Amino acid sequence: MERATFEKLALEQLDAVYRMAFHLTRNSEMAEDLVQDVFVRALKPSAVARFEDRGDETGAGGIRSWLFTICHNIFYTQAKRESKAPSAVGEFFDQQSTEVLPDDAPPAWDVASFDWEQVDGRLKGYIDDLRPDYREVLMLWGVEGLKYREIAEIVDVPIGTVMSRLHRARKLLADQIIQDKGAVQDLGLSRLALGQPLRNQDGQSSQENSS
Amino acid sequence: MTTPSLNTASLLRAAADNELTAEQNAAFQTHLKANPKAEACVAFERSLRQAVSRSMHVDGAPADLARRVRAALEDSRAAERGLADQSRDVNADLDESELPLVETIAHVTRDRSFWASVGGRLAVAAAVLLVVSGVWYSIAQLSSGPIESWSDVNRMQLASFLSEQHTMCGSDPDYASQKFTVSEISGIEACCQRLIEQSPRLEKLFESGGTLVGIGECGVPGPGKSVHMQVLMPLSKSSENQIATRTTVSLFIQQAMGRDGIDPETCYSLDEGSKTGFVVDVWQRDGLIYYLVCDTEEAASVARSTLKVAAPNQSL
Repeated sequence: MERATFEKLALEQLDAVYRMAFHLTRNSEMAEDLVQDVFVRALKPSAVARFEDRGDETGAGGIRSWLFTICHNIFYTQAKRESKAPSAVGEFFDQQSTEVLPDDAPPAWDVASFDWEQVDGRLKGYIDDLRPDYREVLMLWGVEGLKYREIAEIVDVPIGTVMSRLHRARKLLADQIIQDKGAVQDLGLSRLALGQPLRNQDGQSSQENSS
Repeated sequence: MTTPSLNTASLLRAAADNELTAEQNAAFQTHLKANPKAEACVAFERSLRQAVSRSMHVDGAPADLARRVRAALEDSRAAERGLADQSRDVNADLDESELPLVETIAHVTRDRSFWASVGGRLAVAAAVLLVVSGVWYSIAQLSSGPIESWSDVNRMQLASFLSEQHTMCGSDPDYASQKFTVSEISGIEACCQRLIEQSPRLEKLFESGGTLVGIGECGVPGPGKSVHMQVLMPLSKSSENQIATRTTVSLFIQQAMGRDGIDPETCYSLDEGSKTGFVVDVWQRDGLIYYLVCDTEEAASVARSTLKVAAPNQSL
């Protein structure tokens, strides 16, 4: 493939790469720097040669996944370096995570009446508080619509690990919603569905038909 | 509805993601029949996915980012073209301080970039070289003598140094990008003229499908200046049904300067018995010493063929 053609195809993924960079760094300036580094590295002749060796995965989707992989590698290489400094961000390498593996099913709520748009801001806040590896798989799964296998190739972990991170992240988000009184109200979620005591806005108990 | 087990929980989420295999789907259908409300769990997960997509949506890259990226790519290419342009005037009195290479790299490398400064990283790389090799001073003492006079220890230390550099550049992209200041084939000659004051004979190295990973200055023990070049070489031809296998080989090129013990155009093994785990060949040609480091004998055979070097029939 001609280098100019390849560069054009790669730059068509600029928005997607920026999205990933932004969610990893949570900072627009750092995201822009990361994106720039991704493309400079990706368009070196040796990198292009390695990409072309992938055979039939060289379409637009393949280029995007490949750029995501480079973005992931650059970000975490830098993070590892920073973790050795005195002011390291410890969350990246929390080997002693106390999170419990989700052992219960998703909630069986009637979502027909949900008004998710009312909780977009809250949900964004919950997501921002997640670990970067959880945010990363959520972004690839939720925004980019990638399959587990594709995500596993990008972040270079087994599919089981992808599923584990995704399921934990989703469980955490669901739990946050339940615990957030405002979110519950905004979502239009009946407390009956939560199996919690019924209370009116003043916090006083009241009775309500459950049918 | 009974509380599902962990396996069931994963099953429901995977069902929501349309990630079930045929077998898993059968298990899911069985679970649904026994627990009709599980459908609501799946529906919740699907709506959560849409909500996550909306919450994590970013409008797009800033308007000027594309321009900045293109400018960075052009700067990167210009840095390598600048070396090629410079070499055209071979009689120019080149003052190291006037060379644009450092300034060009500084222009490309921005202060707020993820990358640390080039100078700082080169200093770290130099410190690692001194610690890891351990042969710097001992080989320098023997630099004026013929290679046959080198002891087994010194030959092994040199082979270890070369194989370690080959490994580090092949496995650490950051280390490689700091060392290899040129990544375009067109910049090789200028780089070599500047660093080792000669043009190497590379024969058919790139015409046979080799791709340059990079070339840059390297501190191979000895009095002569040296460069390290890494190349991706095809081991087999690609076909309709098969992708070519590639391997990384390293070629270190050093000014001969006092290394009189090698017969020109004769290839020697620097690591007989492959104690380093790599194939390490050495030969001398037109006042330059070439060290070839490959992961396998097959790769070495291909590399020697393209460089028109016979297989070694003796060791140093």
